[in-house]
Amino acid sequence: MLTILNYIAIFFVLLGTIPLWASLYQFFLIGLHGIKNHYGSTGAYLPNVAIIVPAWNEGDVIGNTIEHLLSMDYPKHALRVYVVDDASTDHTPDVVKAKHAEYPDNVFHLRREKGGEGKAHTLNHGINVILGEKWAEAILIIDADVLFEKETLRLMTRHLTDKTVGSVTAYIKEGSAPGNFISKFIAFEYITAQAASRRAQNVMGSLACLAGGAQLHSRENLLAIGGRIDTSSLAEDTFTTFKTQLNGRKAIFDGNAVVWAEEPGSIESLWKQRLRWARGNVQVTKAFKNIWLNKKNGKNLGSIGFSLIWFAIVLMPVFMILSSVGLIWLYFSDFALSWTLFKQFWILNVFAYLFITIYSLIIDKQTAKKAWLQGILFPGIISLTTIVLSCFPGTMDHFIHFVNGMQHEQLGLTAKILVLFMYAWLAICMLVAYLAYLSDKHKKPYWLSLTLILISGFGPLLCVITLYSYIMEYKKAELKWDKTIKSGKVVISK
Amino acid sequence: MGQNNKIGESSYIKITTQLSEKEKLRMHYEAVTNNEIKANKKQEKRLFIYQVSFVIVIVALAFVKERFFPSHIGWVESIMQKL
Repeated sequence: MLTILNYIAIFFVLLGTIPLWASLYQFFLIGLHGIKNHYGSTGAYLPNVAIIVPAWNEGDVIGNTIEHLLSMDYPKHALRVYVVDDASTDHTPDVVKAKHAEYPDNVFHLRREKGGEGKAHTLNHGINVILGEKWAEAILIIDADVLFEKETLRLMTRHLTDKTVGSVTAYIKEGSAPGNFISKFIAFEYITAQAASRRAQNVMGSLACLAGGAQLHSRENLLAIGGRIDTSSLAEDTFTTFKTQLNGRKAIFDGNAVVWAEEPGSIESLWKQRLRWARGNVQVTKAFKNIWLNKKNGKNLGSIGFSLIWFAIVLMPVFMILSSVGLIWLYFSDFALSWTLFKQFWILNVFAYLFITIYSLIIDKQTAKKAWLQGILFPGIISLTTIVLSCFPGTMDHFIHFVNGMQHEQLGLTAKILVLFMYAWLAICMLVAYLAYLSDKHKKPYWLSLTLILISGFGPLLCVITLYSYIMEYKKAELKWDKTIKSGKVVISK
Repeated sequence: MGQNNKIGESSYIKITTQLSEKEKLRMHYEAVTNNEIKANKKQEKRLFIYQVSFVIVIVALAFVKERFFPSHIGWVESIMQKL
């Protein structure tokens, strides 16, 4: 007879399936993007575009960025690059001034004498200048180290033909050359998180985030959201995205408009970047608390589907831990039930893993060529082993000598340890990922942190960062804008 | 007659007037954009076809696997019996 606590434990285990359902839901919507997309409302539209490039000590990359921007297939007379120099102490001002001398009508140097307040403040400096002039019809916000493909801007501006569109974002691809195992994990992750998820969000009519490295706004949209970027949080991009949509304008993702960026190549720098993003997500969740599951307040952002996707990410570590707790509780109180739930949970995992991994590799075949191995290893070796074993539940039963109705006392010692370990793994994998981070932070050999990540998986690393972000938010830790160190070794792969 | 000539002349001038650089550029980008839109629409449709085919393949593989290596899971067995 199930007690109330057992019911709670079952509920916890079911909570662990929420991220899987959310992922499957998104991945099924991607196909619909073939039918329901925004291309039918686009057309040739080449407005005057002011590009804002926030730059702090980007002397090594900024010249290359400006050259690339000006070499885009876009009418030169309709293109201006405003580099907002955030009180750089390196040779950034010299490089930009030299570019201004070379292209007096296209490149402008805006200097902030007091810098270090964060990207949003830097952007606002540029936005103030641009909106103060009448020239710009659209404003493109980018990062100093990204490279636009020749046609990308044009592919973005075409969506502004439709006046209900306020902003457009592109597909940021990982372009480090030569790249390493971590950057290739990110390359694969970006297929799932951008090329895939954002197509699904286009179908839903609610975009979660305009990429900070490539967001195009109509002038009207920027003015409508107050003519400035939010400076109160670490997720200024998401704030802008939400405000755009809550103001009644569409935010569109164009997966065919590609921008290349250099992403972190070490776990430590990835941790810094993602902690900022994760804290930003927590802040957005709190700041927009009235929109969740409320279509009246949140429009499409308040839909059940979007709320499911949002909270599946923001609360993923909680779901994983509760799922483990539920399974372990049931192990002691009703082992047969726990074993059945465990097998069903992993069968769902098998389907989600196969569907998401293979379909992601199909969506972006170019990235798939270089990051297929990272795609396969994304859940980590232990979870991957469980996924393979889950295809053959009979073999698993046989291995632990399981018969219906048996209790945990009847298991052999090896089986007891193994089963408990598998139940706890959903939570433990985050601990192993955290150890990988500590190993990298304390400059232990590269192979050690890499081995730990291969065991835990890349997904659990992102999960533990989210968990850590709760703690930082709870402790009200300083909102620090840690700039990710870039080497400038980003290339456009064609 | 004179008026007709004028009309004729002005039309002739209009036909032979060269397009300005700006107009040429506009027409070029219009053509390029239309082609890109067509290509992108096709690309997105292809993703839909891939998805449907892929789901069919996964279900078929699961069916074959269950046929030869049954899971002995209640709901899976009941589906297999119905098929």
